[in-house]
Amino acid sequence: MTDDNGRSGIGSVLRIQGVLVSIALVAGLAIAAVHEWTRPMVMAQRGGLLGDAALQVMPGATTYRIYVRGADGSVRLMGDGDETPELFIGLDEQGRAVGAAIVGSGMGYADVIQLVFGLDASGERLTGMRVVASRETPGLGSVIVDDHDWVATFERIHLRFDEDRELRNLRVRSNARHEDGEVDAISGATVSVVSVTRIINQSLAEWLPTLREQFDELAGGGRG
Amino acid sequence: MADSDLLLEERESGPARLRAGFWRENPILVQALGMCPVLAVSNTGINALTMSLATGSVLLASAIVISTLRGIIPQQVRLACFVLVIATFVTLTDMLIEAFALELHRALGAFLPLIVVNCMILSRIEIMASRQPVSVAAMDAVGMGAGFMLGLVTLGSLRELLGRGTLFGNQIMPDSFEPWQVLQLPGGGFFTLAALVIGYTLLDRRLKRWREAPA
Repeated sequence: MTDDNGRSGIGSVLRIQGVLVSIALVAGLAIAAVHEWTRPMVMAQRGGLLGDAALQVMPGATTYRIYVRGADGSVRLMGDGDETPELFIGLDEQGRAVGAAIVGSGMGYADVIQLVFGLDASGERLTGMRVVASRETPGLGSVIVDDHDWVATFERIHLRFDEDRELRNLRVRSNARHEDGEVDAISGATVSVVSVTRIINQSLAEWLPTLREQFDELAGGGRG
Repeated sequence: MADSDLLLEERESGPARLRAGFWRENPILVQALGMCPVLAVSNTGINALTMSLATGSVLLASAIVISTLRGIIPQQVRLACFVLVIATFVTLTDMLIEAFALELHRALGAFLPLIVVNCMILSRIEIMASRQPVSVAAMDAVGMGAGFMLGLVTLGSLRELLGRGTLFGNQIMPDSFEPWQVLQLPGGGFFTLAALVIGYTLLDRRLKRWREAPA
């Protein structure tokens, strides 16, 4: 393994670099190839998980319509070429809209957190939240998935608006008042909880105006 | 290092390495290596099985590649090369498990990418794969992987059986059994591991005495 062939100085350095770069190149190619191969499968499974989670956070919904935002900012039904759903409109058995579920993602403590949260038809109250993908520290940040009591508090959180009906951000606090737009803090999982709250705030800011204007239209005209 | 250099460092026997890794030099019960994933993902049998399969396949693939390349890897950057190869296989394993078993991927969480820094793998690569021919390195990796699985799956099954009353998700204990929930917590992992090491040592002594006893 040693470079004992009498080469020294620049030759030896070049050889070391050559070996390292070659191994790195082959490794990168292998990873890229497998990533391309597995990505459609992963996205399809994630889509299924998102759909299941969306039904859980929209009480009363038995089916849904899936929307994505186009490049021009308009909202359209999800098509074959779209990878990730961005908005679910939940429909009950009679086809009436019961609420919406919004998909959001953002950086957590360790990696990207992807979640889906429900919003009631009036757009004033959350109806649930599920984390679909995360790599938070097991035992600490992972409570955003495992702590069912904490997850259930999202069914009771009311959004806060100022005098002009502008949305005010949800805040993280210990002993949170859920009816006042507050999320419970968890010691040991501060970053994860703040990340979840930030993701929800960002997604609400992006989607709430659209939902206010177009909810009936997106629901197919059948508001319940 | 060329094969002729093995005069300096003795060439090991493949089958002997296979047996040693499984029992005499068991990575968990004897060498106490890779304790972080061992204690973290051994709360159920299925988690333990998947984790040990993932670790074992990374170890085997890395051992074969590094043993093959041992003649061209410069001594000065050998650790960088080892970690590069191991990290590649860990990333590939991670992506494959995510594509084919998403639920398991979620259960194993951050511990799957952390196989990169599992000291058992790095130690086997440094001690065996970088010095021995491919066949010996591969046998050693299989032995160590099997030993890792023996320790981890036993630990996981015990913790699941006593901590949840189930085994690989199937209800085993009667309804009257009150699960020892402490075994599902990280602390319970330490207790179970200690009990397992005691059990291993007693069994190993008895086996030795039995083997040495005159027929």
